[in-house]
Amino acid sequence: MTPILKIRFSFFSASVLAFVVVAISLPSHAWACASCGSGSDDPLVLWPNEELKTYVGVSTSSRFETVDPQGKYGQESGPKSRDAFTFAVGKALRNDFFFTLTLPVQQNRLEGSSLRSLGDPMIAARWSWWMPDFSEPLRPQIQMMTSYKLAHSKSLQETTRPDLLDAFGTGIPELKLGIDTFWGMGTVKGGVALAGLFPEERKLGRTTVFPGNGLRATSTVGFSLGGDNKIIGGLVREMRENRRNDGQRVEKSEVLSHSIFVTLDWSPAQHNMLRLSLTDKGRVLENRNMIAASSLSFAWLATWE
Amino acid sequence: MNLNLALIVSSIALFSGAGCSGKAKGDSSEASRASTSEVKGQFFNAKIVGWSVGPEVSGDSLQDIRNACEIEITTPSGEVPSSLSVQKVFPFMKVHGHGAPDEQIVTEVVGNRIKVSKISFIMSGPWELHVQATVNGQSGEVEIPVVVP
Repeated sequence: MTPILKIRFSFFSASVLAFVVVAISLPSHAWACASCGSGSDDPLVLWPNEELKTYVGVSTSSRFETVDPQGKYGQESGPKSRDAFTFAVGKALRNDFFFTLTLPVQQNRLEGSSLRSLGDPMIAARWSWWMPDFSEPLRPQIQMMTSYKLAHSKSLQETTRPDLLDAFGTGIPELKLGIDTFWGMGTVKGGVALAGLFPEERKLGRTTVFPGNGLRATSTVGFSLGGDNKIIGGLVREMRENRRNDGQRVEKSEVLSHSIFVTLDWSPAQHNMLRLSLTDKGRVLENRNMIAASSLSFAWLATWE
Repeated sequence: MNLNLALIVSSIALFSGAGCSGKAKGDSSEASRASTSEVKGQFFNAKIVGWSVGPEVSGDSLQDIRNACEIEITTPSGEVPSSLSVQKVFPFMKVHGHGAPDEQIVTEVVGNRIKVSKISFIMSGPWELHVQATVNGQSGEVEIPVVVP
């Protein structure tokens, strides 16, 4: 690196650091969490003092591409877009504990035809180990999170249609256990969430499949836009160990997936939040044995007295 | 404070570094159309000797499922079997743990070869074509690797 580049880099680094130091010391009232808005974890999170909250969202996913064990991209048949209407409700049992129930209705679309089905319902809970505190803006919020996804909808293993319009889920129930750490009290926000993914083994079609245990890491950074409004972006990395088919370990079946997302939260009125999210899965960094897709979602979150 | 700063800066770095993509397109060369090496099973051996169509990702209607190949069957000692019947031929993708619709698959035995048509491959990648057959009175199954570009 030439001296002039070194100087420029140092100036840039110092500017970023100075901005971060100033920004995190400014108070902000926008709550968040590291996995919120990432599209890969729970869609609904309750903040302290919220007792009942609902989420109504619509989303569409498209630009599907398969990624093989060597990371090569290819094509797939079947739906060209998948839309979802998602309803979630959350209830706080204590100030530091709540649970949510999520029900998606999904629609697969393919030129001229579509099919709709209830997706995989999910029940989730979070317990705040460390609560956020306005008097201590540098103290992170730390939540323990868990969820269980039921396998209600038909999977690729069970599809009978050549156009695959009747495949809506993985066919595998899955337990998630994790921790979510977030610094959300400053103008600049950020956090990390880590979750273990523990699917069940299940017979689907001719084969008993086990997709392999996994780990999902979400890293986010965001900025308050004043009040409860904020913009948050992040990176999700998901890894899964080798799958097992009929008890046999399958070589080169490890999953590696990276997604980036950006979420804009806008509060037009007290107790109401509108959320716009863009997610691009499988098109950054290295990916293996997954389906790349782009998603757009829009949601209304409401807190009820 | 230090931890807080480090976390935020690393998040920025992680996010900004996410623009690099090692994206590579699938191999669509003629190599994937070539005959496979022989797969040895307990009761018979099998080998794809040629594809009349494909292998390729299938379309979305029955008319667009066009993959067709010819499989040569021999006894474990490499001889032409005196009898051959087919129970089922179906594709499966081990690395993803799923197959593809296979009710439409048509098989025809000609000598010691099985002509298979209307095979559906629903995505690019490594597949296995499972052959369940009875050879000289003994039933077994072999899986032949197929790479779909």
